[in-house]
Amino acid sequence: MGSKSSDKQDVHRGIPLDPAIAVQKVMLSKVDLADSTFRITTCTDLNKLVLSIQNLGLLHPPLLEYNSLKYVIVCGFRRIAACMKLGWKKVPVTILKENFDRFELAQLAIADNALQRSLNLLETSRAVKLLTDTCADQKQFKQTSRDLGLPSNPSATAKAVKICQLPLKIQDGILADTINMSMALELGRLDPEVAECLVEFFGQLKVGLNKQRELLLLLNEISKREDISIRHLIAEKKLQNILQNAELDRAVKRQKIRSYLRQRRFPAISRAEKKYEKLVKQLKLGNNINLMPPKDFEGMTYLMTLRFDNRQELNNMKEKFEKIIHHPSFGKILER
Amino acid sequence: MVIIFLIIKKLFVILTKLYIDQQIADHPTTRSIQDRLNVPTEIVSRPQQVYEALSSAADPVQQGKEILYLTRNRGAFFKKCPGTSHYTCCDYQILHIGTFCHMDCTYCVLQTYFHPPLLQYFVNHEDLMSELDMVLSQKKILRIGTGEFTDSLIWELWTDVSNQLVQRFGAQGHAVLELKTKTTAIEGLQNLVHNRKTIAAWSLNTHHIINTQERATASLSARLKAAARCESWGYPLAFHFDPLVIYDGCEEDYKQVIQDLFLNVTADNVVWISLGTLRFPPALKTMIQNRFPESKIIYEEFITGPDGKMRYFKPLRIKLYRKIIACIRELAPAVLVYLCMEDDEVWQEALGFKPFEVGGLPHMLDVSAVKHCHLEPVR
Repeated sequence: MGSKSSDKQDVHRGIPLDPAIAVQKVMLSKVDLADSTFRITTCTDLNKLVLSIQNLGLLHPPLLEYNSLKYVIVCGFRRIAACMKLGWKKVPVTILKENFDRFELAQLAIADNALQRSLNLLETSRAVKLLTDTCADQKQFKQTSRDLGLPSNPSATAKAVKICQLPLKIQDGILADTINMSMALELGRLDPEVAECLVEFFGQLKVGLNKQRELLLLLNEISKREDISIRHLIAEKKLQNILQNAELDRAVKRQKIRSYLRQRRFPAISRAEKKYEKLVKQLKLGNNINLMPPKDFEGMTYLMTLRFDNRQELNNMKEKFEKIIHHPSFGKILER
Repeated sequence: MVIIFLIIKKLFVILTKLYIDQQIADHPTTRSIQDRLNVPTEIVSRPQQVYEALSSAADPVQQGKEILYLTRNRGAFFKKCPGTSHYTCCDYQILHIGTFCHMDCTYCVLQTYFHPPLLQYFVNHEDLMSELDMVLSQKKILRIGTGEFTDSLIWELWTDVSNQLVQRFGAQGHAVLELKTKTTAIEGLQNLVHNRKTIAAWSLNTHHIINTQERATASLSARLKAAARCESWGYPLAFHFDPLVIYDGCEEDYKQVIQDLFLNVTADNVVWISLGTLRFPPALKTMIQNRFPESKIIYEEFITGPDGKMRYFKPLRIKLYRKIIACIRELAPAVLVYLCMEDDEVWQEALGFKPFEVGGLPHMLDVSAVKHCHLEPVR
């Protein structure tokens, strides 16, 4: 960034600090509110800020750039919005000199946010994207990222930069903490409509990353297997009946949906599991004996575990063993 | 870039570059291959130079099919079939003539088996032949094949390796060579003195699977016609239904293939038929998703077997095997049918016996080889 001058007027390449010189009042109608090039913040709640400005005044004037047509906001998007909400026609601002290049403006915008609070994932992404777009020199980019507390290694940067370009619903999902970066990027590879549908689906179920991954895998593979889109699959009556059932709490819904999707993805395996459970139930093993089938019914070895506290309890199991061994259901389990 | 298309029976081989290991640049086999291929050539001192050319490609696996690297085999030419734990293996010996394949089957395990996968051919045949002489000096029944790490006959386009091998096997009496292929590159086999010690073998599948999953391979009818020609030249035959792929209507389709098979070849001349359902290491799933996004074969009901490979849920495998075996039994009751990489339970359910009850799978195959290939009994 620019040179540091001993002149108290200049801190960064001549940004005027003396309000008497630099701060001027600008008509809000002259500010290009649609230009979000330098917007880092994702916070849309203005209530506290409006109250503060109303009671104490605008403590820090926003930084604006004049581009011969309109004023573009570099720092202070929320302050400008709050002033508008208060019905101000004019707002005190600092106008940046024209010789600032885009990279320098980007740094000002990022520093105004990143150096006074923690950025959330989307804000970090916007900041990284802004730096990427304005700085071609990799070495300079890396150093500036570090200085501004942003990720600087290429892999993290590459991921971060994608986040703010994802469909808005995915970004909303990140802000609502419904999905994390890893899932957001996975969803970003899907058709945007499907991704939006999944964000909503995960939001309704409030599931963590591992469960989201499992559900996404099941949905994706059913969709491939049956040649139907994930959107149609989620919109199907069976799934919607579970999702919309007001009598079920979220944990039950999650369990029912997972179970339904698994049965649909693996019908033969699910049937075998159900049949096994039914036969084991008929054995009436009780709480102290557990019979585990071979994993996925592939091998031949069953595992039986016994729980007992003393010799007498173990002895009592002998009779039960005899019954199990000769039980027709046990034969069926082994015959498969 | 110069691209050469070699067309043999509708098989397209696109080689864009030939790399030659500096150490064998003057080898007669290298020269002979170079003469037959009119593609840009680069002499390299280290294999890494070839690997780098591969890794920089957008699809390194595809690139590995378009580059041929001639080198010498620094290790053993003979290897035991890798098999896998917990399942019955045929105990076949691999003669390692080269790696990878220019055909492009979605399910091909070689895509993830070699790092990186690359068409690589070993030109030091003098070492191969002396190792083969040593192996053949063992007076025991041996089943040897070249079709494990590559397709046996793709090299016919540029080399005469099959010619050498068939004649060498034809000159002894206790070992058989199996040439396993999905091509129809059999012209070089005609007029060779094979003495029935070479088995010409084809990997077979349904029209649907060949059309959708076996890119650049010969059609089913072309494979069967090639098999019939080999039979007419006196070669014993073998067929491998591997991988059997489950899809809607697959049972009827496989029945049709079996009917077509025995319309083309004589059952008595078939040494063995192997059956093996689709199985793959988990890494191959990602490879198929990336390279063949249209392929659906990985979305059936797979489980992870004790060997870590994905395979169909056991009852599904058994059901398909039973149908296919019943069909083979109907048309060719005496042909030896065996299962590739299955456990005793599947053998029992599908074939009605376990391999150890009849002396083990290797013994079953040896007996059939002795009978069909007129091997000398070994004491």
